[in-house]
Amino acid sequence: MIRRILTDGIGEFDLTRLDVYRARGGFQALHKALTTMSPQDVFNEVKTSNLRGRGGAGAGAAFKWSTLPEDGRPRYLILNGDESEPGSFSGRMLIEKNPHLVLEGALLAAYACKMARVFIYLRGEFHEGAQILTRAVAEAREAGLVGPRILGSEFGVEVVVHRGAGAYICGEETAIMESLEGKRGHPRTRPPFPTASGLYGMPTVINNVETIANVVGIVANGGAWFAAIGPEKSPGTKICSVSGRVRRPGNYEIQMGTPLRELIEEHAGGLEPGHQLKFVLPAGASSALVLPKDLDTPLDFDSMMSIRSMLGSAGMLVCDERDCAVHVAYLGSRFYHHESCGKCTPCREGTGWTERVLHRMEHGAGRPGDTERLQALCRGIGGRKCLCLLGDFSVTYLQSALSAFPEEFVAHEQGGPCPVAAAVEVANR
Amino acid sequence: MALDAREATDIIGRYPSPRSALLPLLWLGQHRDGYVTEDTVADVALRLGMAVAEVESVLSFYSMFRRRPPARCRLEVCRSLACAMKGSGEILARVQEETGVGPGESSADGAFSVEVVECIAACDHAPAYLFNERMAGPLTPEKALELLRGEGEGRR
Repeated sequence: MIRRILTDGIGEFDLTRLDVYRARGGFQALHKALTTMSPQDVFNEVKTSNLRGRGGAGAGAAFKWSTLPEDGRPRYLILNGDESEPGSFSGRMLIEKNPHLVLEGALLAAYACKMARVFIYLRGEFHEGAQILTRAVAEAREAGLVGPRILGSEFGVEVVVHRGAGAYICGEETAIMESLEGKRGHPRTRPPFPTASGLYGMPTVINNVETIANVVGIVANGGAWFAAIGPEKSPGTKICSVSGRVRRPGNYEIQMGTPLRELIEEHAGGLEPGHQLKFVLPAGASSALVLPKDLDTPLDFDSMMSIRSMLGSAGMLVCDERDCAVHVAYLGSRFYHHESCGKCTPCREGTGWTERVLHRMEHGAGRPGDTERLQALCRGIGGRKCLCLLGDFSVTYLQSALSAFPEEFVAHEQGGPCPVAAAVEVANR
Repeated sequence: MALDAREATDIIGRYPSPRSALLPLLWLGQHRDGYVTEDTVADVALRLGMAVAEVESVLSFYSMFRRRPPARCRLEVCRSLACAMKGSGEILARVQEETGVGPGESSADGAFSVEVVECIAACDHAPAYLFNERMAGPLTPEKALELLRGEGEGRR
């Protein structure tokens, strides 16, 4: 079984060094592409591979690339490294531990899409990641792998590492372009889609760091090789970030289609001793919870959708019997209220209302009807009423928790202490 | 004080449009002075052909830019889901109890400050924190107090 493609060698070798990365076969895919393949050939391999975006949406990478207009205007590639979803930390590992893989993937994507400029947008908090990646780009430039006439070919590309400065919304594909243009990170109206009119109004592709890192293996081994790994419609591997109540939190690269149970029980070492799984948020704070009965669901885009949740960026937050569904909802609501960019009314106002209701429920001051109020807020905010999906994401978990654990919400309407916390206390006596 | 002209020109030159250099130039100023000074704002506005108000408008959107001199030791504790579940709130309460400094506050002598931040993508080390910009975890109340007294380096 093929397990490690993107994380191969991490922890054993210092892959941040160009010589180490090259000694392990690094930049051979780029060499192969520039000496034996046309941009169209590279595109075709990615198309054959059926690579789907790892940032959350799971859209076909080649499909996105194929929508670039052939009109001679400059095109840009933005690598989305603004990883900010609570519970996701796989991108940070790739950037800090395997920066040359990310860079090589970006160069290959730029070659396939005929782009001369790549921007790698990192969230501001990645101080160390920005240093490592900047150093990697400089090292690659000195070796003739970045800049004009790469490896003696006609192909040249400039790579700029760009840091954000603390805003979750900038991980959204249109807000990231606004931010890169030196503006507030507000989402744009779509259409036009970024491939038609993106950064500076030019055709732009925005791909997640992990998506791009996969292009290296696809070019090196062929699209058919990749397409044969895991489920037909969601091939490849996925780096899952597991956190919360497990023995071994961390990043685990698994073959797509691996059951959620195997990830939690084997890779992450199972729940902390003496505790039982209550639910999992499989794609960070933005996803509908998964109950223990669905633990055998294969981890791939379509299977996770079939249980009305999502694979997303696979930031798996594991909760046990100590975690009150209302408490988790409150933590999420506080996050979304803080991170709403304020542009669209349902999100700007709704995330604040939701936090206020959950805050009082959480702090012993819930009121009769608060559960219904939350349901009304979910309807009012959700349903794609805004320019981006932040508002929808802010109620996804809440909606699922309201339907899975209604009694916990109703109990919190009465004021007084949390019944879940009280039960834990009794059990510990 | 104005930004270093060579560095600023070099940064602006990386982008097809000068305004893209706004965040990098503000970072440059903050790195040098510890925060974004009035001088930096004025200098950036001049270099990019923007109004000062425009620069301020963008600057205020991004939570990592500081407008006041920072404390010497800066502890930023994550309050998002995994970290809150692992007790980051209790740590902040204990720190406040022992030092009188709550989230968003600095000690009277300016020696240290305590902030809360949203997810910093270090959930595997929950409760995670940044100490003078360096990411680490897990934080304990004892560790937090040690850091604020200037006794630790904050390494993982």
